[in-house]
Amino acid sequence: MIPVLILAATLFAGCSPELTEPRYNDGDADFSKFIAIGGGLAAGYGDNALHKVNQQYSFPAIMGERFLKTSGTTYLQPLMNDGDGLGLLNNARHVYKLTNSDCGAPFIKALPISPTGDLTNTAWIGAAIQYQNLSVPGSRISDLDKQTFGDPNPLIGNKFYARFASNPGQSTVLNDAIIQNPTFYALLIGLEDIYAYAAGGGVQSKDSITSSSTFEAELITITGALNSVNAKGIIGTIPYPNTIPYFISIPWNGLELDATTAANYTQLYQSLNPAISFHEGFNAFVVSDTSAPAGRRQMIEGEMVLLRTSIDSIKCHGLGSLIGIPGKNYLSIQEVNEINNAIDGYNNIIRSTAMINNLAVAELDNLFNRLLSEYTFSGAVYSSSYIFNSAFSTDGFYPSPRGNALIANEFINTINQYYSARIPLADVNSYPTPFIP
Amino acid sequence: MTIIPALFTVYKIRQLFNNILMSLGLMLIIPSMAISGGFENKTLAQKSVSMAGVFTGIANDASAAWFNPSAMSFFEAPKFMAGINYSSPATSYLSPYSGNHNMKSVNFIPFHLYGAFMLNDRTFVGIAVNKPFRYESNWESDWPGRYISTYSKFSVTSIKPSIGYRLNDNFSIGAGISLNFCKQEDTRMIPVTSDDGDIISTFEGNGLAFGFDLTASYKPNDETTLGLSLKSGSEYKMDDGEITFQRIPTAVQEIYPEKSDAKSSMKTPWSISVGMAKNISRKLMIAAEIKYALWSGTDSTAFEVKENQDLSYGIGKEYENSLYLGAGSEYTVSDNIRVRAGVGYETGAIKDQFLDPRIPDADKYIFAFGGTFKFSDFMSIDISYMLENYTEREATNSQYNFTGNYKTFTNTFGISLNYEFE
Repeated sequence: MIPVLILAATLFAGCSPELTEPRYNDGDADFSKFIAIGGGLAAGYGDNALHKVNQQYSFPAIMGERFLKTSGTTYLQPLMNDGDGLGLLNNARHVYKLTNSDCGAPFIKALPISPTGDLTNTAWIGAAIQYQNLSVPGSRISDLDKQTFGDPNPLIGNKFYARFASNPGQSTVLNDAIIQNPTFYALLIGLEDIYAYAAGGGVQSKDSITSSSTFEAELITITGALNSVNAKGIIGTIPYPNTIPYFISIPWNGLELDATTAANYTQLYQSLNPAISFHEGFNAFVVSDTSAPAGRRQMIEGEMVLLRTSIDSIKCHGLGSLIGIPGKNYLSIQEVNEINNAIDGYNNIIRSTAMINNLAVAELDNLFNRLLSEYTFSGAVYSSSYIFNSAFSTDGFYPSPRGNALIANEFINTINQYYSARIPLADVNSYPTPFIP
Repeated sequence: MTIIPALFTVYKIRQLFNNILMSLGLMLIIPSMAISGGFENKTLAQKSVSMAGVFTGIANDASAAWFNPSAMSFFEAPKFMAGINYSSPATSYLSPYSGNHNMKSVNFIPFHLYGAFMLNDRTFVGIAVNKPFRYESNWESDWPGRYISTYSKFSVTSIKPSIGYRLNDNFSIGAGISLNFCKQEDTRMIPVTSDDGDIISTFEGNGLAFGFDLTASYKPNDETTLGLSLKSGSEYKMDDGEITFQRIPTAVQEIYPEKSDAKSSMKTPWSISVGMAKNISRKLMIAAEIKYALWSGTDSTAFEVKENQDLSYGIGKEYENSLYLGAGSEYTVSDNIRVRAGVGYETGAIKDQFLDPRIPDADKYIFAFGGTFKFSDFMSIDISYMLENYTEREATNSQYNFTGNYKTFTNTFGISLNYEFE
């Protein structure tokens, strides 16, 4: 009898209920030819480089993969070669490494995986291929309709566009988009126009912020060109620096001192005018500031230490206490205000241009804001912290593949609402995350 | 016993029955009311299984020692039973992102042993050994819910001595005290990921708890029996548990111990069952049962990691009481063969916002059949088949922000051997 039961049972084993997936649809849009235009974030730049793994999970690639559920076709991107990728400074991608400290326990630090990036990636791959993700790391809004942007000479053009431009030195990103007759596009542009300045330390950087009048004129050109081929689309807004780990993971008042050290430092800085006093616990960092009477002062709330500042130097060599943090490693309150004002301006232009052209707006600044407090997705927590529970890559500025999935979901959610479409969201936890050493 | 107190008792019991039936009836007409389910095991003996869980009012074999000890006292001779069931739940999860994911097969093979021993013509003592509560879920290690659960199990093995005492020809009472052993496992991934993969966290614990039941049977005539069973809940404290963490990245070895003492606790619910059986002809018996389980008294589970409290985690839970309704019948084909069938309906105990893949509970329909083959004056075997068909359910767990549709069915087969002195 028991064998009979087991036999009967095995007949049922392996038989599982099947649940029916909902019917997905494009709604009022058409995703059969989906292109993306943007800068590094949309290109899938991450870990301080453009490398294949992150590119495969750029937010446009994730959206393109989701559109396969309806009218989409395989999403074609100008992928880099397998390997360590190539950064804006010809560096290799960065990974977290357990690094020895000069004075304490080993700590996690993002370091290049190899001494140099893979320069073979600059070889031209643009012949007769229409790439759907036309986003280029380092591109400012005015680069999109500039022929020289694709010049193979790196002193003139951008190596990331030159490699896949349909006609390097002649074609433009915008034209390479238009000739594909896109039915739908995602545009996320303007980060480089502001963040080259911000990440470089503000006025100490060699970059400046693109004026909002230029931004507006260019945005009208771009949306107008895409309108002319009847493409529908979505534009993303620009997130603020106070929501990005690169600017907030070292807090302005992160100088932790014990009572003795605090007393010693207070004595040291007594002669400074105005004098600086320290106390046990967390203190504001000391920064170099040529406009301060003594050339040095303490940071104030709202100012930002950039992630490239060496934490080990802070801990072991008196950086930010005995030695002021140099100007290129922090943003003063004036610089932060300047950056925030510029983002306000861009985002207003983005929203009004989108309204005039009947385009959806993905409020990325909102998403980044929500990540300031923890956001749980299927049991995993994501936030704007650095390294742990982070939605960001090892560079602390560009998202990790999981962060890109969160961004893709923000775009898709907006598209579903604005265009009455039904496109499934991405399973954030199924994408890679930077390894903890 | 004088006639007055006996009548009084009967009157009181009737009143109690009326009250219970009335309140259960009221609950039935409140549509938002969800009925029981949770993680109770229904495969405890084949007559009950083959009538979809209906047995409290019948209680005519040794398994009365579990279901309704008061009924033992109507036996004329000792009865024994040993048996085993085989259950294979199949659950599918439909992700809003990535389609169907099937739970890996979990096989549940609970055994049961029952004995009813005669002390005198009014008193029987019983012993029941079985597994009255249990859940087990096993998902692929890379499935969308891996940060919630990849494997989880909770099972209770119960040993319950009981006594049944017949007050008169119509009425008996019974009670039992159960000693319950539980075992819990809970495995999940933690999104701290090295090139080896996510950290794997596994809790294992054992616990012990007492419980009791109070039962009564009433036979107004030879053709009719009524049974009532009140079962206590139990609280299991797994204070000597252990949690292990595997694949810990070097950088966080200070935070995650490879192994730590840990503790957890679980509760099983109070329940009340009322059943009735009636011989409507010489060959046909029909029976029905209502059960109300107070799952709302079983709350969240917390896994406490002693070496680093920051690693402690909890499963937020809010159960609602569940209602089971069942009906069954038994037909005597010949002296040697009886066949049975039953249907039942039971409401799920877990609210939508607390549904998690450890226990993909839902309202369910139960279909069952089986039979008894008597091959000597003393020995017979019962066989049974039961299908528990859970309704498809869409839910978003608010603790985990985990959304999806769940669908489960469970096939159960079983066989029990009866040895009865006639």
